[in-house]
Amino acid sequence: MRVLVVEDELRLADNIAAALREGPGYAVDIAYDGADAVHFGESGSYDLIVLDLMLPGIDGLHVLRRLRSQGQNAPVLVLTAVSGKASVIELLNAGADDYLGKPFDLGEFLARVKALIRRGKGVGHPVIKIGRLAIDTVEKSVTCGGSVIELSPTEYRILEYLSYHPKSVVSKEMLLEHLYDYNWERHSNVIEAHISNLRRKLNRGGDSQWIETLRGRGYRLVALRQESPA
Amino acid sequence: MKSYSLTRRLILTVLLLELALALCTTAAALLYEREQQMRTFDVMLRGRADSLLGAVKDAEDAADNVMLDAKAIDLGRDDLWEVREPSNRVLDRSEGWSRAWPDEPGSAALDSFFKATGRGHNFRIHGRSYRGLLIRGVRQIDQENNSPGISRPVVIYYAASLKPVAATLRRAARFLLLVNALLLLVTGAALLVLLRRGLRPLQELSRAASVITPAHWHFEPPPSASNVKELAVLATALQSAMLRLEQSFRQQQTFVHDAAHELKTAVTIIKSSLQLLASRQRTAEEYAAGLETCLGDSARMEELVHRMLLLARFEQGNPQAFARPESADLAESVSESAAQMENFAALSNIHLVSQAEAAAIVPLSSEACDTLVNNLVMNALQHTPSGGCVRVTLEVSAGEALLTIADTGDGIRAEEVPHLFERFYRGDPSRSRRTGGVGLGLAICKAIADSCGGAIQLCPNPPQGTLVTVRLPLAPAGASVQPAALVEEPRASSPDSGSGLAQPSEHLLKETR
Repeated sequence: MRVLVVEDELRLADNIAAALREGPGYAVDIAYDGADAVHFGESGSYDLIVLDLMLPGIDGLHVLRRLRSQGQNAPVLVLTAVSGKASVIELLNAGADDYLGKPFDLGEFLARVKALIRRGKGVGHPVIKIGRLAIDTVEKSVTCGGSVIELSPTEYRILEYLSYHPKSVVSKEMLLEHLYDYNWERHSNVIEAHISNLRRKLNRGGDSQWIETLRGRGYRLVALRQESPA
Repeated sequence: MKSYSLTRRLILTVLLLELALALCTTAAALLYEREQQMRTFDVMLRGRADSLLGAVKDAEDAADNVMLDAKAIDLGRDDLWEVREPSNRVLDRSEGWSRAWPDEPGSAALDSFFKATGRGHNFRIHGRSYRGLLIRGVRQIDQENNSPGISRPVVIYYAASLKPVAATLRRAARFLLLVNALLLLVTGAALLVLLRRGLRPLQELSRAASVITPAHWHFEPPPSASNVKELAVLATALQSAMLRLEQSFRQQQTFVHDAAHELKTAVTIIKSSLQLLASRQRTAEEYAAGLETCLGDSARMEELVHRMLLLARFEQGNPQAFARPESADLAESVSESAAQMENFAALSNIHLVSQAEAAAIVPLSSEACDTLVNNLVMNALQHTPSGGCVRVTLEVSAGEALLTIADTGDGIRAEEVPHLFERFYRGDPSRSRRTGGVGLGLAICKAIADSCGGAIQLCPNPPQGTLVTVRLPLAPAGASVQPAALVEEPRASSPDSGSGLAQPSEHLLKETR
């Protein structure tokens, strides 16, 4: 998952980014003002946008409207130090999905972030089940038929992303865009290496494929109805 | 002081005054009436005495007796009268006479009751009031046998009871008092109604004033009050007071709002730093680095609070400034500031030039002067790249001190100018991140300049950089200059956390444009 954090307060932006990277293991881009936010929003594909309301230059509400009018559909979590019903109503009506008043609890913030991402993908339950595969997006753990599968953080992130788009083709570019932030040197063979590792771990003890490769198009996570008991 | 009703007091005063006047006029009217009554009475007495004299004249009797038929002539039944000859021989008397004077007094004794002045005279006898008079006449006695008649002088004493007069006067008095009482009642009622009506604008004014709340400051004096000359003054005073209060209240509210926002953000930073640190097991080095970060965050928050208080103090102005006007030498602040900043400038490889020849005594505390100059100089230094130059000049001309700070820095954008003095405004976010300012420095400078009626201006300084111009009025001659040593250090009273903010130059480093 890739998150855009729009926050002018350097220290807070850093803390939020660190929390998102350390906790759920998201890729994070930081925009320090409204103009940057609009620019990032135009060029990057995000699974969530965290937006501070008070920004130098263009304020948060205008940034939100600009992003929405550009067709940016990612869920938006607004951080605000302004209390009052009117501003909340205005925010939600402008296209925000949730808001959090400062000072907020980091745990609550992360929970809201995860919930918003889930909702953005059209998923309700925090544990995604595909066949016998169960992906717990809160605990970041994967089980297959009850047995735990140990994955590296990147492998987990690839699987989580694929599981949000079951039965549809996910291109390498999409994976690159959603799993890495701007500071990352992008190489598509990195993805290939991770996919092959992931496949190996998922298929342990079976010969059926969870992840299909569609040459030149990308990958597809498919639900296997039955697995050979051997 | 005891509270009292203006209406009641006014009505009472008017009624008392009217009562006194009514009593005086009643007394005067009664005196006049009595005088008139006495004149009439005298005419009546004289008439009766004359009729008596006529009767005496007509009585023919050789023995000189007058046989009067009192009923034949029109005399009062209870009147006292006696007809005498000068020789005290009594010719006739009324029935009442002998009851009044049973011992037949001589004419000398009667003189104290009846006076020969031609006017009536009052006296009391046996507890009753009488008015009597005395007339002298001549009685002709015809002789038989055609000899000429004999003339005999007679004296007539005549008195009548004053009872009817007293009754008339009592009636008149009663009537007058009744009329006056009625008048008092009418006056009282009319006054009450008129005062009520007259005071209605005042009530409307107070009603308009009573609806004022911190949420609703609008005060529009009712037209009924504005049209009353006496109330218009009060209404105008109230209106302008409300405007001033509202302005000050709004300012405070904005400040509290801004402060709350900034503090919430500051608290969020510290809280998130700590929660991030505690979110998982870390190495000792990571904990140490995290704590260092938190300490830095709290130092910044401390700086924010300090600057907010400073701004609040300068914006509100010193309430004691009127009683004890302060003044300080701006030139001293300039040279002190230049000395303080020298090291920082040298480190950043910036050429710092200060020029303050003449003393400029301005009506500010030396603390305010120092803050003003330090903030502006530090601001210029922070926005000037290495190899640049910051020039501070202080001139005194035309009754004002002109402080200019010119830098060769990155300048300002035209669209920034209107916001530069706003609280918590940080022009370029990337720049504010670099300098770590809280966005209050210029707001504080403006508050200081405003507090003494000065002005501050920022404009581009072609070909490159920014020019800050501060104009301050000079303190009136004779104002005592505060020696720097006696000035209270503003932070001296607050316990310092030792977070690296103790040295003024260091917390000034955090200032930004």
